[in-house]
Amino acid sequence: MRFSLAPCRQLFQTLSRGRFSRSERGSVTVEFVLLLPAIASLLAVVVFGGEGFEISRKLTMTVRTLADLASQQTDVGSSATYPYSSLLTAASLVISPYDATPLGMTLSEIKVTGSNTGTVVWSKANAHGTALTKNSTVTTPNNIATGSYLILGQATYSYNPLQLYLSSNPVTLSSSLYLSPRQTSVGCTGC
Amino acid sequence: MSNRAKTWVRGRWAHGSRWFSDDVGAVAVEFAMLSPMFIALVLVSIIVGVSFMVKSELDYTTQKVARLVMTGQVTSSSQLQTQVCNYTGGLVDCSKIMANLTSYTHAQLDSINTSTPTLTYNASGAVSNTWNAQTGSAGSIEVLQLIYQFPMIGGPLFSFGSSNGNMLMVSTAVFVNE
Repeated sequence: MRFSLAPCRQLFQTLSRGRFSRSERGSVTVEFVLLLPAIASLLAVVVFGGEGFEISRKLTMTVRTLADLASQQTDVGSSATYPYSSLLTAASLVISPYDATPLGMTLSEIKVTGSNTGTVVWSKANAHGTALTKNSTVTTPNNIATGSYLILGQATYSYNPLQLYLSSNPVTLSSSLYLSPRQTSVGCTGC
Repeated sequence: MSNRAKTWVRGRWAHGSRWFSDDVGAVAVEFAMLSPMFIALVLVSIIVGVSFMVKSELDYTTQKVARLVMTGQVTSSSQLQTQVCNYTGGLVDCSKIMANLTSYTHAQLDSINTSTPTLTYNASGAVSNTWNAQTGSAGSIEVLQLIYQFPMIGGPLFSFGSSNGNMLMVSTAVFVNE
């Protein structure tokens, strides 16, 4: 059995020289369909990117709230005043209306031991946060007197906008902040 | 239908007639078909942009009003609403912002509700939640929530966490009363 290319050639000629290829009918529709994925993905970037910035801003406010609440306490280990667990819960309200489940928060007190260095006095985290190791070294801001204490608030948020549509790696947003305690130091009995 | 009209229609429908092979105006017709989709895309972009502006406005108002509550300059629910209106810009109908100010002592803070407030509606569709205006006392922890339902034009197409075509916006401040 022999194959002839003649029918294919004929079809090609029909398509390339015939009315089909010269017709401009439907060109706007075709262009719109070609552009639609590009426009839709641009819009998606604006929506999800904007939401990411929004969460990032709320995260900054969350971490500020956490450090602010803690810096005004005298002892966050005692249930007679506000314990650290309550402060972590209260600060997580700020992220609302976004889901607080992927929110990790760490609250620590740092003793400044020298220029730009300090050690962790105590550190506590919520369910998704990781507490710093006690007595480990951290970098502190400039020009803080040796021997003084600082409250360090840290927060991370796993933002995964595309999880609805496809499985992708989340973007981790993070924020951290140092505040000085109102009194010399914030204790944490039993920490 | 008159005979003349029938002949006209048959002529137009006839195979190979000029009516069907005529390309003039095809682009205009196609634009008319596609323009609703295109305009919808543009509108969505505008509304999404405005929604971000309103969110940051709400955050700003929350921080400002929280400061006033902290320093004891707000003592009643009417003052709370007045101050909310003082700090919102023109994009928001401030009378529709719901302010919920709750005061917690250390014993109550363990049972704090961290979920986003669920709005309830009465028969006429108005929000029927009752909001607190607990200005608290020195040393108590205050939670100020400003809740706003941003009306999304074409809302049913894009439900952003709300069922009634509105986008639910919440801004929260937590602070120690002084």
